[in-house]
Amino acid sequence: MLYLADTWLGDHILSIVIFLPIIAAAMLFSRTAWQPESIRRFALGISLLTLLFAVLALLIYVSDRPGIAPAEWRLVERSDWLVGEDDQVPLRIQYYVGVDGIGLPLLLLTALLTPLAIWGSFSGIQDRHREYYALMLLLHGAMLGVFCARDLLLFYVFFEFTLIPLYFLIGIWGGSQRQKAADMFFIYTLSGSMLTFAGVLFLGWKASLLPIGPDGLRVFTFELDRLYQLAADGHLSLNTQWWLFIAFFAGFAIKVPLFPLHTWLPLAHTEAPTAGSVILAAVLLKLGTYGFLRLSLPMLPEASIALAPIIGVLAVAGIIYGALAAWVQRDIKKLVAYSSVSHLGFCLLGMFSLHLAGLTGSVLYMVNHGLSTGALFLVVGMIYERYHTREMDHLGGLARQMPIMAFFLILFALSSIGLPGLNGFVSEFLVLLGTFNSEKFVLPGFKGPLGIAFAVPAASGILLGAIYMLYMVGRVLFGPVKEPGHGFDSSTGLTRDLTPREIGVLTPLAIGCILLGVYPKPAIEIMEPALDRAVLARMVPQESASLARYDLSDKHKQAVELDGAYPVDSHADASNLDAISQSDRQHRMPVHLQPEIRNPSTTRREVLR
Amino acid sequence: MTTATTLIILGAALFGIGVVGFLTRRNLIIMFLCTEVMFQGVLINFVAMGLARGNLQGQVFALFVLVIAAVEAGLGLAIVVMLYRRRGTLDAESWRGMRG
Amino acid sequence: MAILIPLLPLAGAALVGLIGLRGLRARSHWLVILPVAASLYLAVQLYFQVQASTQACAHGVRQMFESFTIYQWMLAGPDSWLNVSFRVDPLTCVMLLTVLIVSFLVIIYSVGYMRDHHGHAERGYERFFAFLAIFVFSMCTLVLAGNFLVLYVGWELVGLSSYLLIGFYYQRPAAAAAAKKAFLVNRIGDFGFGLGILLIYYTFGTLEYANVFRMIQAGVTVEGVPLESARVTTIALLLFCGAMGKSAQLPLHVWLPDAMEGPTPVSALIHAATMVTAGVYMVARCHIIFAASPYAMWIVATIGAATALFAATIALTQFDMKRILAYSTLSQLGYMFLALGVSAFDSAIFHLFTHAFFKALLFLGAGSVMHAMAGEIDVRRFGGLRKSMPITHATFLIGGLALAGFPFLAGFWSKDEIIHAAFESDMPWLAWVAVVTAWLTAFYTFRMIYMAFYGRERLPEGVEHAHESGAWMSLPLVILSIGAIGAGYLGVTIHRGGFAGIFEPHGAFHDFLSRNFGRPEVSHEGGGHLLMYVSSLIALWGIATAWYFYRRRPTIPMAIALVAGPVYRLLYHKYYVDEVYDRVFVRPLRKVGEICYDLDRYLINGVLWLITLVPRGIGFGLRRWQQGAMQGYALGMVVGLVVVLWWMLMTT
Repeated sequence: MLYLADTWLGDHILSIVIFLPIIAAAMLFSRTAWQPESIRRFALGISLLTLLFAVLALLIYVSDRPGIAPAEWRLVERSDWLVGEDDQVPLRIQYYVGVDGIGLPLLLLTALLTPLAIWGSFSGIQDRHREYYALMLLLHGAMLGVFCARDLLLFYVFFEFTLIPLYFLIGIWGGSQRQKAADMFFIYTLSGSMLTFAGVLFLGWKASLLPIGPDGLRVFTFELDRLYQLAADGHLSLNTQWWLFIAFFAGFAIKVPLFPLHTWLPLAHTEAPTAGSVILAAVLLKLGTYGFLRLSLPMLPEASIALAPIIGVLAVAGIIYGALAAWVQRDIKKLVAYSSVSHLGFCLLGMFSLHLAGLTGSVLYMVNHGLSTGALFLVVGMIYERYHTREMDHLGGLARQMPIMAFFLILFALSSIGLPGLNGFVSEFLVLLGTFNSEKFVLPGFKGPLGIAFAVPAASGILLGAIYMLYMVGRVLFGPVKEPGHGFDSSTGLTRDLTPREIGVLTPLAIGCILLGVYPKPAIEIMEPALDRAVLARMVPQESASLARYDLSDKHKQAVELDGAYPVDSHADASNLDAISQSDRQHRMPVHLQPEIRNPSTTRREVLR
Repeated sequence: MTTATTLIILGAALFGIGVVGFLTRRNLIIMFLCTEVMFQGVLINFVAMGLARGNLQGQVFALFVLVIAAVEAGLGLAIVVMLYRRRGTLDAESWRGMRG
Repeated sequence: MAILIPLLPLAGAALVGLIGLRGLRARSHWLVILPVAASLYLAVQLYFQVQASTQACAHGVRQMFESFTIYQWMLAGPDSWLNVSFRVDPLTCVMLLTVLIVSFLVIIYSVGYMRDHHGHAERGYERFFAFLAIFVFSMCTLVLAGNFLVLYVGWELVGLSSYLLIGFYYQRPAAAAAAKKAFLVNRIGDFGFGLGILLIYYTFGTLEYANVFRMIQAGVTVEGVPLESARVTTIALLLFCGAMGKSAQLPLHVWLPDAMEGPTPVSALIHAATMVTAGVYMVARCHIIFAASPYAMWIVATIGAATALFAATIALTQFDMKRILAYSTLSQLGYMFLALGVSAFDSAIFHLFTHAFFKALLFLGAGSVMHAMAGEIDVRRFGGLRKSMPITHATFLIGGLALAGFPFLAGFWSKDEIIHAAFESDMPWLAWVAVVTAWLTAFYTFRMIYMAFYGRERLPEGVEHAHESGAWMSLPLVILSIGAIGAGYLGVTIHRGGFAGIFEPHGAFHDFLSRNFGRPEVSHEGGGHLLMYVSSLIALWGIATAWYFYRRRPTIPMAIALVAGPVYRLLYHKYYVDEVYDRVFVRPLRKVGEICYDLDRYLINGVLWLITLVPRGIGFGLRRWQQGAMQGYALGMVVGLVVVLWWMLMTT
């Protein structure tokens, strides 16, 4: 694989991944004469090809290239997109993509789930095939773009672009209330992200006022690295950060969705076609959490720390509220939708614990939730295609009728409630561990914002999650066989139990659930450096962070000496410490006490990468 | 009066005729032709301005717009034909779907 | 080698899933029996290794106590990983052997049990064996765990296997409900247990047993700050929450009797002999934490004693053989916790060990009866099976005697030890509770035996004649009854010089475990002599009373039930605990869920609706201007153009 990295393919791998589905969508849209069969095959083939390229990107990413630090953005491509010459401040909006350890797992998740969603809708979609699959591919490309974008405007464009295909997917192929659901989904999320857009523009404008960046020039640009620099150099007062945080919050919290902004989700999930629900749950919700992680935290560190307790409270409320609301649902899909509200609460809680374990858990949670909830929606869709109902009152004892389906449903339900050995547990445990230990993460000028008071009520989620999931499993699978009056519908060519195609759709997800549960280390090792340096290092006073790291590990070693042999494997890289000059250390003060420094040149320093 | 002034007056007159025609007639094709007349008025204005300033930009631009206008005229007429097929009449009053 | 012990059964389960369901079907049990047998062999090997190394030198002991890492699992913080690690020490060995011996026998028994009288396998036969293998895997993981995280993994996985196996007859609503209840009640305990583990990490910065225990003994936290006793107590009590759930102690005992909806071999293996003792094992494993907190010890002992008595009283009034045995299990687990609470950790494990044999035996015997009675298990519906089912009768009697504490059988030695330890402790009144419970135990056990096996032969409707079970089922019964007789001799401790020197105290069992628990005085010394006679008498008294009530004067129980009506009803309805929980917890919680959902639909969406009123109203006002006529719009444009032009001309 290494030799590929140096070829044209290696240089443009991300662009290929992003634009292959988009171009294919355009092609597909113009093929009016194609039969449904060939349309399906084409769409599936393209999405699988995209997956192949995404895996190739992963391979290139992990094969270490000399001279590139592990947390660096990789697979970078960069060219000017919208440029304007001006004597004072040139406009420079770029097509700038690359991935790091946060974006890559989500990129792979998207690349894996979309083919499965497409494959899974072969029997469910009965009309307007061409439009449907073209929109799926379009959505695919847009989602992939979000996780690669390194320019804030590009990010925003992809972020918003995902709305359009999904609006049509829900509005055309949805259930009986599809129109309302599509409108609500669109307007709800759009109204939030309008505010985000205002924040984006403000940040760009603010950055254009100051000569930041290594070249010391003033440029009107949305390059993420430059925007990170704003807060790092102290150009954003706490007050400004607050307002920007709220602007970002409006867009991302609705997308996540964070309690109490979640009410669009159950409706959209219930009304969307199966593949729409899968994509919505597995990937689109992650755009919100990814936005928080990529933009809010590192760009607005002080406001994030200040507001973290509020987010924490909302997240905990969402965990409990979502779980309880899920429990009283009669519609299986709605139950799973509310479970998403609960799960995403965990995700945000871990993120705002600002503890490495919590952050790792949070990113893992995004992936795991995508796998298990996406799979649950697929299974529910398979039941629906057979019985044309999702009401638990009308179903029962299906384990007898559909043993293979029962196996998968139980597996994914267990994964969703965090059974050890499956993926949900790892992320849930890490999130709780991070939240619990957040307040212990104390450095000069920094203290983890959450703590035991947040972790304890959140941990009740492990109980409540089991309640509603097992309630659903019990109602649908166990007890005497109960089918709706019209019985099993074989008109679509489905067998009573799952068809080989459906088993093929679910198996990769099941394997993913087990693998990530038993041995998540490779995934964690990809995420950890990125989280540490791209997020944490921008949140906490840096030299004290790396100093404290050595303090901590010394302390750890003391404890270890007390204990006797304890396996300590060192990932620390000592170069961090050397990168900071002595004078810099004198300049640093606790973040909250720092005045807004007008002359940045005195405090400009190397960003740790 | 210079040539340019004459031409500008001519352009303005054409534009005015077009506007009045568009506002008063109810036949879709006539209305469409009126918009074309307005177009030509503007184009003559371009040429006149170019003449006044002594460069060719106005004429170049007029040619450019002319091409676009030709395309647009084809498209517009096609739409009118489609509309006629739908309602069987060319009366603009029959299309009031946007009424609030 | 240790890692193979859990992995072999797991591989067996996977094989059943892959080929058993398609090809082997009714022969799938070999895919499970062979790996479990291999694991058992490995466990015996491991035992000899540990035995040798404990005797060899102090260094061997020290090395043994360190857990060994299999692989790194999760990232807990900068540069620190939570590992999957195992640990092998005497306690692990004892548990492994107990689990694997009983599992092996129960799996063999199941081959006979899960077929009808013609030898045809039941529906779901392969699935049953796969689930059993998953259970063995989980339980071995649990006992081999080298840190709290892996312990938790095993802990949850045994809960899963229990869920799957209780719900094996998933089409019966009662079984499905019982499975769900078992899992959820366990999760309540696990909620506390999980928090305990998090608090351990918070306090000690590690989850490895050895490190945590050393730091507790040194009395420091990870920051080097002295450890507060309140912190230790909190940790101990949170861990104990998990134990209460898994080992069905008050107030989380409600799931265990319902768990009897599962197939009987499952009740024997999981809900009597092994899984439910995981709580006891865990507390014994963490005895350093518990010992550091007198308050926690007091709670453990009190809850243990209370459960022992409480469950025994309920068992008096039940008629379902399996439920009687289930309450008896609760009661015996209560004994174990009592022992733990009075620092007699080795006695608790000893009782766990002997109990595994005789309780598994009793359950399998009950299963044998049930199999012969075509699924009927109510002792009012049949009786006098002594003649027609001789092997079952004999083995069941041995098991019953062992449970009742009849002299020189397994239960006698271990139970006496616990009572003795309780008397020696600073909470002697708990010992009196234990003594009363011992009498009740003897009584209800023989009440059941007399009703089922003695008197005139009665058979339920539809059963022509009772018949003895086949060899697959009888053989494990016989082997287990040997254990029920003999297991106690491994650890004779307190009866010094008793019975003309036949039973010399040697305490081999306790010596072996002393590497874990030290060598408490109480185990070997003390005046157990008197106690031995007293407890023998109590056991005999209980048996005699049962004989008098149910053989000699069968009207007495009815009369008592009539006289003590309210009390009897209270006991018969198990103190109405289920009903109370339903009213106090389940329904209100569900109500809250409904309120949440209503809030969603009405409050939040209502507020949204109000917000949308603003653009809606504006639009409503503006719609009058939209005539829909193209020329109207064009006129508007022209007017606008004129206005703009005029304004521009005016301003310049």
